[in-house]
Amino acid sequence: MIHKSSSIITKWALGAMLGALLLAWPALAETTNHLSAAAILASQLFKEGNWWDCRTESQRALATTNAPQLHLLHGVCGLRLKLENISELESLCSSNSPPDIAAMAHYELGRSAWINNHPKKAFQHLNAAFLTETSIDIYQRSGATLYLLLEEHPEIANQHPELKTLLATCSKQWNHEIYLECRRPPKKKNTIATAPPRWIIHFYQKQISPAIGSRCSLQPSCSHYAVEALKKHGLIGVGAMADRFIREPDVVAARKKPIKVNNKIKFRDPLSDHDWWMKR
Amino acid sequence: MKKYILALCLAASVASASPSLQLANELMKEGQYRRAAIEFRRSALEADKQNDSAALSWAAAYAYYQQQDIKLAMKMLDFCDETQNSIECEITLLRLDASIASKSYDSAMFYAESLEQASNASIQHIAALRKTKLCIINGNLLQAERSLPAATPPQVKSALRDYAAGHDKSPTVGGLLGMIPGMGYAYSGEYANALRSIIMNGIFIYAMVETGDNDNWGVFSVLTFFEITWYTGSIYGGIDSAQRYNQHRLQACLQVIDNHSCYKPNLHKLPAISLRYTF
Repeated sequence: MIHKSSSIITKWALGAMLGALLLAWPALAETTNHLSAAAILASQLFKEGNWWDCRTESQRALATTNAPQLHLLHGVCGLRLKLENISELESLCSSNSPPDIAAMAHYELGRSAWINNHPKKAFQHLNAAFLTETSIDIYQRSGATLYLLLEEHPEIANQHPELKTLLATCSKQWNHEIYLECRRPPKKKNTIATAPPRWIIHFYQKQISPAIGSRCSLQPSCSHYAVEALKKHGLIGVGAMADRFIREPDVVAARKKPIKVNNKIKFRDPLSDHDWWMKR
Repeated sequence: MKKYILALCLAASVASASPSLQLANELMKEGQYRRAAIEFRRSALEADKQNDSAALSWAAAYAYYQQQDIKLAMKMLDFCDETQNSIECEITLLRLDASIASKSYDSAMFYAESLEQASNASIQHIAALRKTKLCIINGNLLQAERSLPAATPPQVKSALRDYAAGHDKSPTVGGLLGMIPGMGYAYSGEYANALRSIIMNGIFIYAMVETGDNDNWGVFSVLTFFEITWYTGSIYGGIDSAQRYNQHRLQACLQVIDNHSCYKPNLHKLPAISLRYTF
């Protein structure tokens, strides 16, 4: 997923925009229910963040109707799934596509390029989305993202002083929600206190485990359980980790909650079963 | 002659089910609930009649509930409510179960109480048992006993009595006892874990003392680091083992209630909703 912390807001905002576009498209609003049903379902799945099924459903709808909205859904889902083929979205950026579709495609490609550290490409796409001025939502979001990009890369900003002035004027339209949606996802920092156990686990996962093979009969494995416990609970995660090592033979012997992982039977023992009481 | 008529009816019913619904039923049988839900949703969007659409949305909600995706299950039930339909009781029943699964016990109690006036006696019975279950979860055993329906199986009454007669373990006591390695686990009856904790702590404490006596401070510090891990685990394990004990005791009682209040939709009859009850 592109935006970790603001993914829900982005999903709903973009999903709502795409949903509105799909329903307005004349071909899709035909009386043939089967066409519109697949398209409406694809739009709903997109709003839920179910990229795989949305992509499948939009592909199903594309088999019977060649709507650019469906290509947009299909392409954006591919981007979310980090599939490398972005040619579908790039072709939507051309002047043959309806302006609002082209603007959304530019916006998505621009954000993806920014997150993946391609600032010049990001600037091209976001600038195109910003200047299309078809939808207030795209206008605000592309403007906010462009502003953040130019703050990070002053060398690009210096080449376009008039744009910087225009963005500064538009900035009054951006509320806190839009800022949260458009900023880069903040990286969660681990506490320094949990560094030694994390180093040991990291060393085990990278050097020892590949040599001796996966030995843990539980899912998640003890090392992954430990990493999750340390991330979630800090130093208290050390206790959870040790408790897991002590309990492991009993959990395996009980043979409850089997699950197939990579053709092996393992037994589910998630961290959530052993830390729910901490919320009280 | 009757056999032929029955065979014709069955063939007709199979033939009338759309390919999407047939696929959805197969996927449900295979346990692929997410994919089944999507097939049900597509069928709901394609349905001509509002009642059919509501029933298929209900089936999608049921599939998501089986998948433990409560948020989507509730969303599908909202779709049901948006259309006029004749399955209000079935919708409320699934909302009740979904609320219990998502630990929204206040909402679940509301749905259980609203089903007490349901026209369907089987749904009334299930709602009463769910209400009993919710009272047990909330710790109100007296109210739980009062909520039992008239035709309660003796196994349920016995499970409730056994639960009321037993005692929960205190996580605080478990944690305090955990300061003596292994005693926290032993307090909750996990003797194998207690023995392992005693052995691991014992080995590392012995090694710490030996290396300390020999002034081998480098090894001493490494051993101390590991011993702190095991000791913290002993305290955490003392608390968690008490919580596990209480959960197992509660779940054993609730499982008996659930076994006597199951229902399953007969998906082959879709878009008509027909539930099979097990009491």
